Formats: sequence, C-alpha cells, structure tokens
Amino acid sequence: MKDFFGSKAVGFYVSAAAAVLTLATLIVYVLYGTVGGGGRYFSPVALTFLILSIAAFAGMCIFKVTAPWAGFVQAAFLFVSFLVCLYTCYRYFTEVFYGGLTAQAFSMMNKYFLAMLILYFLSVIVSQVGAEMRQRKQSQPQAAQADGYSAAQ
Amino acid sequence: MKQTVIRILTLLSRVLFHVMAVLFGIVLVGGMILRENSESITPMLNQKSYIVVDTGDEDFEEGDDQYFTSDKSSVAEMKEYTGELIEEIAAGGVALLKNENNVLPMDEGDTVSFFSVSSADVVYAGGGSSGANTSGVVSLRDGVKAAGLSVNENLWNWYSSSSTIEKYGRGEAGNQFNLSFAIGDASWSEIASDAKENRNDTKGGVAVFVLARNGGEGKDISYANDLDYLTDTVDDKPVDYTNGDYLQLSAKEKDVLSNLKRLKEDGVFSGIAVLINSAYALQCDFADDPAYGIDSVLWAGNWGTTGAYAIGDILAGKVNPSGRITDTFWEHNYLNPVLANFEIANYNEVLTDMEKTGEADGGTNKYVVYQEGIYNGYRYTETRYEDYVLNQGNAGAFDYGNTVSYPFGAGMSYTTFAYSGFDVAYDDRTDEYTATVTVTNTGNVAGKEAVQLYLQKPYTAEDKENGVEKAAVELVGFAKTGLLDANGGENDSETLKIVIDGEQFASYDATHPNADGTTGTYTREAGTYYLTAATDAHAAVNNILEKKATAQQKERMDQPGDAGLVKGFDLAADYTKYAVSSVTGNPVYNQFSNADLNLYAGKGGNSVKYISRSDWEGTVKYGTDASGADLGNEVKITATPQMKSDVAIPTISPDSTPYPLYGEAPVYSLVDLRLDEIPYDDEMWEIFLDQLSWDDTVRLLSAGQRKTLAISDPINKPETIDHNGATGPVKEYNNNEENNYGLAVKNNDPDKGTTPNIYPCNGLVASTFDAALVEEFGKAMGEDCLWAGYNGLYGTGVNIHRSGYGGRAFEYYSEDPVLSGEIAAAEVRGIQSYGVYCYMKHCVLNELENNREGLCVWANEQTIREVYLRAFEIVLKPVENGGGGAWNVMTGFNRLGLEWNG
Repeated sequence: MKDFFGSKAVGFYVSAAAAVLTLATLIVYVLYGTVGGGGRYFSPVALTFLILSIAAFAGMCIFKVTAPWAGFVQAAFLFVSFLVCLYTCYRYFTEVFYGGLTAQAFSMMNKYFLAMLILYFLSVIVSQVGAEMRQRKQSQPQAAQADGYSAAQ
Repeated sequence: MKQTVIRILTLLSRVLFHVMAVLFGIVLVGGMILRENSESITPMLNQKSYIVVDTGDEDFEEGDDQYFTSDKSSVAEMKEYTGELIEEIAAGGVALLKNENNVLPMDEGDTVSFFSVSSADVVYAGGGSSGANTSGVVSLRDGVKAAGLSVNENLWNWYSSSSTIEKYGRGEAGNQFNLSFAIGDASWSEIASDAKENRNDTKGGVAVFVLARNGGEGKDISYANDLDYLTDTVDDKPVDYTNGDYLQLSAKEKDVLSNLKRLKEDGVFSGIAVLINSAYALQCDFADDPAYGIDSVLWAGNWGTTGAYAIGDILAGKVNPSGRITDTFWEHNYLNPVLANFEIANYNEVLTDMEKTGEADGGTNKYVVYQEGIYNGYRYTETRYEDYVLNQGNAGAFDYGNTVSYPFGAGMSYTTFAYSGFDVAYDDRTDEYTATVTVTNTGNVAGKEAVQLYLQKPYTAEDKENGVEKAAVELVGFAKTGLLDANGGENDSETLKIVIDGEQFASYDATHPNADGTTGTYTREAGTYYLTAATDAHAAVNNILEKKATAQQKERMDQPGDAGLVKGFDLAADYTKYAVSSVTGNPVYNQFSNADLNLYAGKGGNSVKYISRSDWEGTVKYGTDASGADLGNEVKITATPQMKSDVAIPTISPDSTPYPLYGEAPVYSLVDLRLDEIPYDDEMWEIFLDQLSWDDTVRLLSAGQRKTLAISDPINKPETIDHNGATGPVKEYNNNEENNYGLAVKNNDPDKGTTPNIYPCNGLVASTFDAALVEEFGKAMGEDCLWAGYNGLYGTGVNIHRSGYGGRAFEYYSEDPVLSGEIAAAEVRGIQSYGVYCYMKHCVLNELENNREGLCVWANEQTIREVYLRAFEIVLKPVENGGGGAWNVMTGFNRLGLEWNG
C-alpha cells in the first residue's frame, strides 16, 4: 500500500477525486431514476458509462502498465456518459424553462436532477484536469550515474 | 528557451486536444438534438423545409390551386371590411344595463367627458396567445366625434398624455406570463383640476367613466386575497384591490365616481354613465349605489379595433343598443358559490414527483372540484330564487336582489317592446318544438330585440333520488328581430320562430341502468315542462312562476311575470329515445365516472357533496365572506395510493387491436381528394392515409405546433399554417412568409407586414344574440385568414365562464353552454366557409389558467355533459344536424379527474 501510494503523482489524486465525484453522481443519478421521478429522462446507457468510468479508473490505476492511462480513460467514459445524459434529458430543460429562465422555474426544478447535473459538471471538469496530469511519479536516475562513477565501475 | 517553447507547445496541444474533444462531443450531441427538432427550428430561422416542384400538369390553369377566393383586392380593403363587421358586432352586442333620467342617448353636439385612464388606454384584447397589436385602433374620442358628439378635449388630453398613462395606467396587456393586473388610475385629486371641473369644457354634458379590467392566458384573476401571483405591488404599482378582488371598484375609482356625483349635483354634468370595458364580469354593487349617482351603465367587453364607432353611435342614439349580457353580473361576488372551489388546491401530499408537464408551475399535484355541479351562474341564482318563492328545497332567506345586479340575458333599449302571440307547436315526426312570438316596437325609436327561449324541466322525486339536478330555467334557443320601426311604422313588428330539439328536454342521469348493462344516459322524466319567451333569465323564471305558483307563493316574487308567454307540456317519461346519440346513433352511457370523485374507484375516503336544489342551505358554500376573508370551504382531497398510480401518463402497450397500415403503395396525392366533397368515412381516405409511412406519421403528430408539416411522396401535402387565436387571426399577414400562401404574401401586398384588426372578445360576439350576424362576422374572419395565410385557426374558444375570474374568459362566450355553442357554431360555419379549419378549444374543463398544465379537475358526469361539453357538442355537430360542423378540436392541458385530456 505504501509503495502503491508512494508511486502515485498528484494527477492520480485528482483523478481519484474525480472518481469519488463520479460515484456521487452515480448515486444521485440512480436515486433520480428510481425515487426521484426521472422517468423518461433517465438513461441506463449513461449510468453504464458512469460505472465504467469508475471501474476503469479503479482497475487501471492498480497496474503499472495501465496506470498512466487510468485518468484519461476515466475522463473519456465519464464524458461519454455526460453526453448521453444530456441527450436524454435536454427536453426536461425545455419543459421546465418553457416560460423563460426565471427564478421561479429554477426553484421548481427536480432537486435530484439539479444535484445530478451539478455533480456531473464537477466530475467532468475534475476528471479532465486529472487526465492531463501525471498519474505516476517518474523514476529517479541512480546517484552513480549522476556523478559518472558507477558507469565506469 | 527551446525547452520552454516545447513545454508551452505541448501544454497548448493538450489543452487544444481537450477543447476539441469537448467541442466534438457537443457538436455530436447538439447535431442529434438539432436534427430531432429541425421541424421546429427551420421555420424559426425563416427557412423553408420543403420545395415545390412543378410536375408540369398540362391541365393546370392559373388559379386552379386557389380553392377559396376573396373579392377584396388588398389587405387595406380586407381590413376595412372586417372593421365594418367588428363595428356591427359592437353595435349589436353592447348591452345597456341601466338608463335613468334620460341621460342616454345624448343629443348631437353634446359633450362627453371621459374619465379614467382606461378611457384613453382601452383594453382591446386579452393577453396571451390571443393578444393583439393595438396599432390602428379607433379611440373612444374619435368614435364619439364620428357620431356627432363633442369631447372634453382638455380632459382627454390630460388622460391620454404619455405621462398620465405611464404614471396612472395599468401597464401593457402584454403576452403570456407578463400580464399586468394593476388597476392603477388617478384619484380625483390627482386629475388635473383645470380639466375635470371646467364648465366650459364639460358644457353640462355627460361624464362617461370607463371601467376597464384586463386578463389573459396563463393567469387567473385575483379573487379575495388570492395573491399567489402577486406581491404588494404589481408592475411597480401598489396593489389597490378592494378585499383582494380585482373585479370590484378600487378606492380611486370610487373616489372619482363620488366626485362626479358631486359635480352632477352642481350642474357641471347632466348625467353619469359607466362604460364597462371588461370581458370579465365585474361586481356591480356600484351601479345603484347612491354614493355614485350613476345614471347609465353600458357593458361593452373588449370592442375591437373599430368598436369605438359603435359606442359613439350608441351614446349619440344613432344606434339603439340591443345587446344582452351573457353572464350573471353579481351584486356581490362573494355570493357566487362557484368561488368556494374556484382556486387551485393542493392534495394533502404530492401524487407524483414526475417532471412538470409544461410550465414550471405545473398542476399535476393540484386539483379543483366543480362542487357547484350544474349550478353555475344563472342556473344557481334563478333556481334558488324559484325555490325561495315556492318555499322548497331549504332555499332559506335567499335575497335575489342582494345577489344579482343584472341577470343573464339582461339588456335595455332606447325603445320598448311588447311580446304577444306566444305559441309552441310540436312535430312528433322530427321531435322538434317550434316556438313563435310576435315582437312589436311600442316605443319612439327604431330598435332590435333579442328574444330568449327558456325551458323548465320538472324536478322530480326520481331526480332527487338519483342525484339528477335541474335548473329552474335553461336557455334552449334565441332569435333577434331585424330593425323594427318606431311604433306605428310600417315594419314595427316581426314574428320570430325558434326551433328546438326534443332532446333538450332530457337530462343526464348517471345512475340510470341501461338495458345493455351500462350505466347512465339521457332520460326524460314524466311531468310538466314549460317553455317561455323572455327578455332575460330572471324574467323567464317569473313568467313560469306567474303561470304555476299559488297566490301566496307569488307574494314572494320580486316582480310579476307574464303567464301569457308560457306554454306547458305534460310529457311522459322516456328512458330510451335520448339514450342514443341523434347524430351517430351510438348508445350514450357514462364515460366520465373517473372524473367524479364520488364514483372514482380509487377515491378512498374522499367524497363531494355537490350543490343540490333539494337542500340549498346544506350544500351551498361560499368562498369568502363579505370582507373577503377565506372561509376555507374548498373540497379537500386526501391522496390515495391509486390516485398516485392513476395520475401517471400510462404507457401504451400493444394489444389485439388491429394496427393501422403504413407505407402502402402510392395511390392518391392530396390533390386527388380535393374535388367533390368526399365523406370522411369514404374508403378513399383509408387508402390515402395508409400510404403514410410510420416516420411521416410520427413527424406529423409530433411537430404540429402552429402548423402541420409538409409531407412529400406519395401524398404531396404542403405545409400549413395554423395559428391563434380564439377571437380571430392575430399574426402579421406575412407571418412565416416562406411557408405562407396567403393572399397578402402572394400579391406582395404593401400592408402584408401589418396585423389584422383586433376582433372583439367572444362575450361581445355572443351578446348580440344574433346568429345570422355572427355567421357573417365569421365569414369576414375566414376571408381575413385567407389573406393572412391561415389554414387553421386556434379558435374559437368554447369553455364556459365558470366565474368572472377565469383568465381566458375573453376568449369564451358565456356562462351558458347553449348560447356559447350556437354562437360558436354560427361563427365557425362562417370561418370554415373559406376553408379555414377551426380548432375548438380547450376540450374540456379548462376554465382555469393557474396551474393548467396537468391540473386535476373533478366534476360529475351530468355537469360535464350538460354544461361544459354541451357547447363543444353543438359546435362539432354536422351542419346538417344544426351544428357548426367544426373540423378540429384542441384539448386542454388539464386532466379530467386524474386522466390527462390528451
């Protein structure tokens, strides 16, 4: 465990934060689709990609070979999930804001939907940032190579 | 340096990669969304979604594609013609409700002093989808001057100045969601002193106070502290309602009127007239209030672009008023029992968390109960009055005079009329009753008279047992004379004939067991039925009481009736003749049990005690007391698990019903069906429709707002424009120009960018009680639609004035369904004669605007059929069956019970 975390760069932790946000998004999305009145605005496909995003990150960050790409793959799945979610639920916006972008309309929005949307945005942004950051620390060169003696020996 | 540049470029490329990836995703999804909604987006961008290809038909001649023609040569000429019809409607529809001391008519040259900001800022139309452009309207000043009267110019200039209107006006009628409900106006001290009391300006003429109220789509009118949509200010103006009621005089209005009385007593004015500019029935306790000394009251609704000319003519006596009001005008609004359950209520817990079905303030978790049943308007006031006179039904100390200012159908004239020779003949071959009555002008001025025919059905023991309610009188027909000469003239009398169907004698019994095992149908109970010709609903009841009441009972009547205008019929019971539709031949049985809270299977412990004439005191509830305090009498509904289940929009699952055919081999284009009237059930239509592909059918049904889509092969149907509104066309003549085949665009008319004239509110159309005039009016409207390129009109509106507070009352005709239906039928016959199809709206039980989307409306079947669907029934019946023959219907947003109208 010490070696595991010891080898991780800042990017890993950013992507891990994104994964936590994604997990929160997933939970709220499931609630929205079950008890939150999501109805036809809930997409199982979007949910699947959310799960894939978390699973991909969790799986890939374990192995040295795949770890550098964990954040990127996580961000990619999450982004696809987000697009599918937007496509599924854009009509909800047209219904709620039929009368214009009013404070009253905002206040009447489905609370699960609003929370899900906010979490989605945060997850996507954080995952995109994490994807660009190094996931593993770079290996340090040996001290002998630094002073030129070990090569000669 | 090099490393730095490389790092920067690497960073930039990474950022660019992410940006491009995000953009790619947005474009991908956005493209899909745009493609799905292309049918709506294309016209918004003023683009054409199709092209017309000339296939080179050798037989085609120029004009072949113009199925309906106009004899007008320009938009200007068309507007001139509709302007004439609007003026005629106003002339025939304005109702004179009070006229004392010979104040009206005025003499030529007399001066009119217009008071209230509304005199210069008239409400010409309601807001929302029927909202109209007021450019080109004729002002009251111009209308009055055209009639040969003078105007107090000083006063007019003050009221009409932009500073006055801005400061004291109510604000613009505006569009949906932006209505102004401020009353505003200037108090007496705020009116410029040199304008209001200068005898040189007033010249001893008449002070005309214009009393205006606004309304429109999307919001109901405030009643009794119902300020859900209002705060302490409305459009930055303080809310100045009396008792929270928009339809009562405000303090400023009272202030001005009381000062006008003072000036009248000082001889500054010869009289005071109130001109009501409102499609919503105002509380009329002010009319006889000695504090205001009002001599005359004219109701004119929203009179349209040129209606001011008619008002001027009426004030000047060039036109004798002949309109009759189409609603009961209450002395005190709080005495209207409808208001106990007029406002929206919440279930004790939400029925569903499902998304709002439309506007943010959707009505899915809200309801209203029509607890009054059939007893809306005069059906309540006149029935309870009769029972008070006859001392039955626990009527209590019902004070008619303190309840009703002006009854349904009321209206005076500058002359007098006498009815004689009333008779009714029955034809058992056609099951029709033909009533005839001779109307004679007994006065000194020519005028027209609207005769109203009312029916009384016996309220029997069986009715009480089965919960069937019957009003003391119901309007069943009407007719209007031509212009009758003054008494002694060559044409000073006319015999009118009114034909009614025998089925009007039946009532709906929702408990009746039918032979085929179903329940509920129209029945006629045994008893004495009365028909009477009368000047209004109250006169009708008094006529009948005069005939049947005892001497002792007659002592309780407030005025004598005329038994000579009553004909009685002793009829046997009949439970089968009217159990079958006279139009379709289909059996009639209960269809709306689920909308009746007492019959709905999932009601749980909920129930409604409907108003019943068997127990007035026990069933009549009022919404507020005299001070406006809420009595909390609305029906409370406790949500049940089945309600939560039933409120959801059902998922349609395939069943064994034969599926329509799609995509069949091409046989007909639409143009092949244009020649000769092909019955709707002809096989050609089946073959034609079977050609449509599934996808085209879906497109047609899902992209139908304000148009129907163009469908190419094989049916070759062009795109159509269907537009608002309930009172007539409102959009510019070149609206949606790319797809507009109207004459204005076709001829590139210089006025094609203008809007049609503003048509009067439907209440004013109905108050003419003149079906022939209305049909001509409808033709003018249909021809106007031809110029505007309308293929379909989102109108007319045949919901019922359930009270004066329904937001869209200006789009509807009356509290009475027969008047509404017959007038609408006449108008629709006229409109459709020009090939414009009418969407009768909003079907059904859409009497409220607040939370209309998904609102649960509960009512019993008799009420739905006899009151709220009756107007639709009349206007949709084929023309050969005496109906309007309307081709289309628009559903309401609301639910019947828990089931969505759509």
